[in-house]
Order: sequence, then C-alpha cells, then structure tokens
Amino acid sequence: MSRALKSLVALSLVVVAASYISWRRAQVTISAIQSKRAHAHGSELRPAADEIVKAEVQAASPSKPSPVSQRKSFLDEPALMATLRRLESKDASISLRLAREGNARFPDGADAAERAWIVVKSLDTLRRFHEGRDEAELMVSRYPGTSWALDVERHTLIYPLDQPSREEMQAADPVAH
Amino acid sequence: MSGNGGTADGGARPTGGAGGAGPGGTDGGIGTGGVGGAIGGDAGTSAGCNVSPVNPNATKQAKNLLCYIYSQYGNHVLSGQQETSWSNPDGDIGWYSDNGMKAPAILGGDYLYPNGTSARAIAYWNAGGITMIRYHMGAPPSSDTYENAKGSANIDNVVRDGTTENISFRSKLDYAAGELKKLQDANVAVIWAPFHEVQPNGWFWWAKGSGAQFVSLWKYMFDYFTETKGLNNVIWLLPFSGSPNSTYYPGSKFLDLSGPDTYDTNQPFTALFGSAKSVIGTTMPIPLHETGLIPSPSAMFPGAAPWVLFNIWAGYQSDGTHNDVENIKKVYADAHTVTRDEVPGLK
Repeated sequence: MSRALKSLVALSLVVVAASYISWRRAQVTISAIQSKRAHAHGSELRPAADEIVKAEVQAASPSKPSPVSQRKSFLDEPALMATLRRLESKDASISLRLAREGNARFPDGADAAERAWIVVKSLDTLRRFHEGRDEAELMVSRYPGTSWALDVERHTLIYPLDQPSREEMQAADPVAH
Repeated sequence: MSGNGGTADGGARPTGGAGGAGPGGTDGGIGTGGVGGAIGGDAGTSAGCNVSPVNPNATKQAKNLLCYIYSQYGNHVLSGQQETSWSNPDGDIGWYSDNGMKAPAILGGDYLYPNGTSARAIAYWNAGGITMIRYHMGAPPSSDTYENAKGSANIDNVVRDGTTENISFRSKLDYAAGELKKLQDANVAVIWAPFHEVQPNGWFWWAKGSGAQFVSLWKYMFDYFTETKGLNNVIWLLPFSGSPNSTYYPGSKFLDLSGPDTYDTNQPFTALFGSAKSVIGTTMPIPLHETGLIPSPSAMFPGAAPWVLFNIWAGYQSDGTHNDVENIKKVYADAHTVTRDEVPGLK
C-alpha cells in the first residue's frame, strides 16, 4: 500500500470514528434530557416539548459550534415566538430557557415584552416566586405600560409573598371561625 | 326594549319589568324602555321582574339583587372596589370618604383571607351596599395561598370523588360554603365570582386545563353549593380574563352573570366588551369584574361598552399610578354611576 493510500485510510477511519462519537453523544444527550423531563413531569413528553428538546440537542451537538450565541441561532425571532406560543405552559423550564435566550439575542425585538412575560410566568409555574418577582420588577420598568407588563404586575407584584395559608390563619384564630 | 336576543349558548333569559333596559342586538346598541335608569324605590326589587336566578331556590334577596342588576344594564354602571384583604381591608372603602366621595356600590372580597371577609360583606350589605366575593383557592391538594393558586392540579382528579385532590377540594368548598352560609343566615345576597380570570393557559390552576375540565369544575361547585349545601343567596358570576373563551363557558343554566376583566388603559374597553358579548350573549348583563383603570361612563354609554359594573382592584384607586383621583371623582359624580347610597333596598 502506498503512503498516500495509507494516509487516506487513516483519515477515513478518523472521520468515521469522530462521526460515531458525535452521534453517540447526541443520542445520550437526547435520552438524558427526555428521561429528566419525563421524570420531572411524571408522564411522557408532550409532542411540542419533545420537538423542542430535539431541536435544542441538534443545535448543541458537537458537530456544531458550542457557544450559546451561536448554537441558539437556528431559530429567527418569529420562529422562536411561534415555538414559545405553541409551548404555552406545557413545559415551563423549556419556555423559560427559550424566552431568556430569545431576549438575549433580540433584546429590542418586537416581542421582547412578551418573552419577558413568559420568563416571569414560567418562573411562577416552576414555583420560583422570588426570582419571578425580581424579573417582574425589571420587566415592568423595562416595558412600562405594555399589556404584558400590566399583566405581570398584578399577578406577581401586588400580593405579598410567603404569607401564612388560609388554613394557618384560621388555625391561629379559631374563635373567629 | 330592543335587541332582546338569546344567549350565545342558545339559552334565553327573560327580561322585562324592572329589568327592561339593556344593550341589545348584535350591533351593540342600547335598548330603550324599561326603567331607564330609575334608582331607588322599588326598582331593585323582584316585584314585576321576571328575571330569575339559575338556582330555582334562590332567596328573595338574591332575586332582588339579580333583578336590580338587570334593571341597571345599559343605562347605569355600579361602582365597585376590591378590598386589600391582606393588609388593610377597610382602607380601600375609607379612601373614598377621605377624598370626599360617596362609597362604592359594591365591595369586593376574597375568601383566601378568612378573617373578617364575611363580616365586612354583611356590614356592607346592611349599610345599603352589595358584596362580590372571589376566592384564590390553592391548587388541590395544596393549602390556600396566593402562590398555590398559581400552582397546578390534576383537574380530572379534583372532580373525581375520593381522590386526594377531590378530598382537598371538598374541604375548600366546605370552607367557602360555610362563609357564604354566614351571609345567607344574615339574609345577605352575594355575587359569587369563583375561579376568576379563566382562559386557556391562565395564571391560576383552574385555568391551566382544557375548557371541558374547567366546565366540570364549575358544575361541580355549582351542584355542591346549591344541592348539597343549600346555598340559595348566591348570584353566580363567571369571571373571564381579558380573553373570554366559549370553550370555558358552562352555559347560562349554570350562571347568572359573566364578564371579563382587564388592566389595559384603553378604556372603556369597547373591543373587550364586544368579545365578551360574543361569548356571553346580548341579554345577560356583562360586568367588568376587575379593572385597573376606572372606565368613564361618558365613554361607555350609550353603546360603546355599557358594563353593568366595574370593580377597581385593591389599591389601584389610590396608588397614584393607575388612576387619577380627580378622574375617579368625575366618574363617581357622573349620573350613570351608581354609588352605595343609590342602591335601592334589596332586603
């Protein structure tokens, strides 16, 4: 075998091996995320969420650049919003991540206020109320007067957090009840 | 009157007598005739009124209240104010007198806060007013907190007898029924507005399921309160969010009133009134059960958005941000606006 042929075979082996490793890592990542989601929700992945997870993994696969700013560029703003609206509250953790990434990429986009609303609502759904309140205060100052900010304001900034439950209030004052 | 159409779900609610005026037709125009704005005297009693609450065993006070609401639809708006239940519940109503205004016709309460809500409602009724109560119920089987109201629940299990969620739900219903019974025992009728801001993908647990699931939830409460608990003093108000949705509408056999809320600033919220009417129908009075900004009767009437009542949210009247005091004074001085002293005897 000539030296050139040997080099070609060796290079081919390297490419095949690299492709296999890349494919295996992507499969492992998909399985891990699906397992995590299914465990968290106690049920199978919903189609929309499943689709998003796969898209995320595809974007994050080793065959593509890994920095966040580059690997998330596979959706333009309208497509991102369509995805977020389709997700609604079906998977708050994914909505939170996509909405945050969207506002990092399109901070002055037409739908930035809506994405900020999704961030706060997702945090509430995940029961991260204090974090949600911090985000809400930022959002209300950043997008004042928008319907999104007004909606967030009344649902997260009016009622005090960590009050005793109704049951605890009744137990504390049984005579009144 | 004109345009006395049926409800969107095919039902027909009789009007006439004391309730002879109302927005009619599909063009949103206002009907003429009827009492045409009479306030006081017998206008609010059920004598000569053929509007009936959905509960056939409704008390005299409940019938009077519903008839009165019908009588005002299209020609007047009942003023309302939600109390700041968690800190200073008397402060909101007191703010009006502090600023030289008459008291609102309606006091809004919340059974998330048990201490004194019913007592204040009874006192307001005895002072000539009307009471409207909602309930930020925690997602079963969790406890009742505002945060838990924004949680999630398996609604199918909530309405399935014997499940953990159902046992918790029944306990919460028992609590609320006990409070409403205090009002009934005091001969007080109440506008009951549970499961508020329902819409697809809403903030609260009851608005995170399908329309069919919500309807099952509503009917469960309706049957439990009317049949099992014998609550006959309740006017049932289905409180939509700013996006009224027909799939979440149980039908006019299970409610007396329905309307949306909004915190937008484009008052009098004409488009919202139209979207609500497309779901609720042209006959049933449509309340603005929550609002951030007070709507102006001069813009509402005659046909733009003749809400039968408005209810400013707790603190929004006085925080200096959402409303201008002088504008509230102007609205309260408007001849279309009903204040507490103008509500006729409903007892």
